[in-house]
Amino acid sequence: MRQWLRLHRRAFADAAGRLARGGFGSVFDVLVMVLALVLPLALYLTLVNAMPAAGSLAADPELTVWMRPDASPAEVDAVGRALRTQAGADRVRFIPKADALARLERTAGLGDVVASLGRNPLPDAWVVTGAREPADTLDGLRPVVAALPAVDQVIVDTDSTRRLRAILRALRVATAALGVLLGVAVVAITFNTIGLQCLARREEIAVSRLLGATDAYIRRPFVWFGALQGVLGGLGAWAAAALGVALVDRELATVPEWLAGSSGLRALLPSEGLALVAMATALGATGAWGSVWRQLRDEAT
Amino acid sequence: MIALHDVTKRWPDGREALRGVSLQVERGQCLLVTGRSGAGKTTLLELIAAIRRPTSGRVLVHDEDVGRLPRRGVPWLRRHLGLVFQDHRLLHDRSVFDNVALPLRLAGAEREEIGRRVRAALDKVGLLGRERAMPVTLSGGEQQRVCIARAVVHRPAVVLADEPTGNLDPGYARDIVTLLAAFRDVGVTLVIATHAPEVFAPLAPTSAVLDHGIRIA
Ligand SMILES: Nc1ncnc2c1ncn2[C@@H]1O[C@H](COP(=O)(O)OP(=O)(O)O)[C@@H](O)[C@H]1O
Ligand SMILES: [Mg+2]
Repeated sequence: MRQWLRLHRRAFADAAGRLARGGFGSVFDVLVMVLALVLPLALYLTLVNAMPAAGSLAADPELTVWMRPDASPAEVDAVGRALRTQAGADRVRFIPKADALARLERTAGLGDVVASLGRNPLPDAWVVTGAREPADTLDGLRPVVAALPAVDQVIVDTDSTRRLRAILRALRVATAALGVLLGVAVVAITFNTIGLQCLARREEIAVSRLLGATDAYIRRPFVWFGALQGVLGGLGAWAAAALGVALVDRELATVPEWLAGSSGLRALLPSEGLALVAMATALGATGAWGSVWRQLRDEAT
Repeated sequence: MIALHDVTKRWPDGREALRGVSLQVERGQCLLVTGRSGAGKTTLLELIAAIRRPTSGRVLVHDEDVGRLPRRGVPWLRRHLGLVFQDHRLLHDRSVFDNVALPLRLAGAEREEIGRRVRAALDKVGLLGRERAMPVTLSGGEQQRVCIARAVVHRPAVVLADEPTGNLDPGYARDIVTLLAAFRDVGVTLVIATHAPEVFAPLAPTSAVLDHGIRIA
């Protein structure tokens, strides 16, 4: 175990030294990696920021049932039970009027107005989530639900929210696809860099093997190198994204509605940033591993 | 113990480097493999180190058939061998110290131990004080001695030496023979390929003479 750690420490030192001495070449490789990571990241941030209502605008179609303000708890429960038996209703959620009021106070900054009302003007509500396809399942449900006792109004998503939702979904798919694509690019970048390094160190690899180096021993410093490149690439992309968000935020702050403060654009959360770095590290290590694996396979003995 | 039983090595072009060769070296003994250039000496050593595989026959090292060693077993075998290459095979972008340290680093030895053993090995070949030199700044004979230091630094059970005195002045050649004798005396098995067997007479070796891949004596 001590020996194993020692071998890793040496391999790491070897990789770090090589990266540091690599100068321009190293910087350039890391920059390319940053670019590859920043693209899907930018799209992701656009997505989470362009949809401040993302929380309320669910991905699946919804039908909202407003109860009459004077509906008794028993009547409210009866509607809930009836909704749950309906085909096409995937999920049924209850929003008590007290919750709705609290949310209104919090999110809309209407605390003073609400306080002045003296009583809660909002009704209880049921929210039914339907399956994504076919999108019109909930439309068929609407007259049935409207006929239930103590129901005030039934609202199904409008066409425009549907369209918006479709765009949102498409963007998500695009982000995911781009993410995967450029993740592959990161692997390819390290695969290539490490491949060149293997070629440059061919003699050393050959002699080491003649003297009894295992494949793992040969691979170790290269995999560390790839991982380090990934760490730097991930950190670079994180920093670039933070900078980008800050710049856009400053521009948006001049729009009158947001004059009071920031536009509320958010950068990556620390957890997201760390996940990004971890992913880039794993991708870098994977590319390096594969590259050395191929090299060793091609040159037996 | 090292033994070859009826070993043939045929190249892809059909020519044979070795044909039906059998031989045996006991632990702590010295075997000289002699013969003219092209006789198959290097190939024979390469078979023992599993650098090449025999076309037929068996190559035994400590009862292990190294001709059929799985890929994973090869590094393990080589760490128990000390290899002196005819063309040295030093790393030219590494110092003498780093070159000699390589077998110890492969085995994950401690830093302190590496320093101690590398200096001891360099002392034995008369190169103590040249640790920081780069191989290109050394003469052919000095490079040869670095290669020998690297072959013995990890105290292998078997030393395979391909023309180990090929580039050496007679004085140094004698020193190397003395060094090899010291190893043999502590139980190291030696297999030495050479076209100049006289130099190794002090080792009281047994010998195998090859001619065009066939053992003739
Ligand atoms: N990789 C190879 N491919 C084909 N023929 C080879 C190869 N290596 C050596 N030979 C041939 O095998 C024969 C024995 O070579 P070698 O073992 O190097 O002889 P020695 O070391 O006794 O001079 C020679 O005829 C040589 O040309
Ligand atoms: Mg030879």
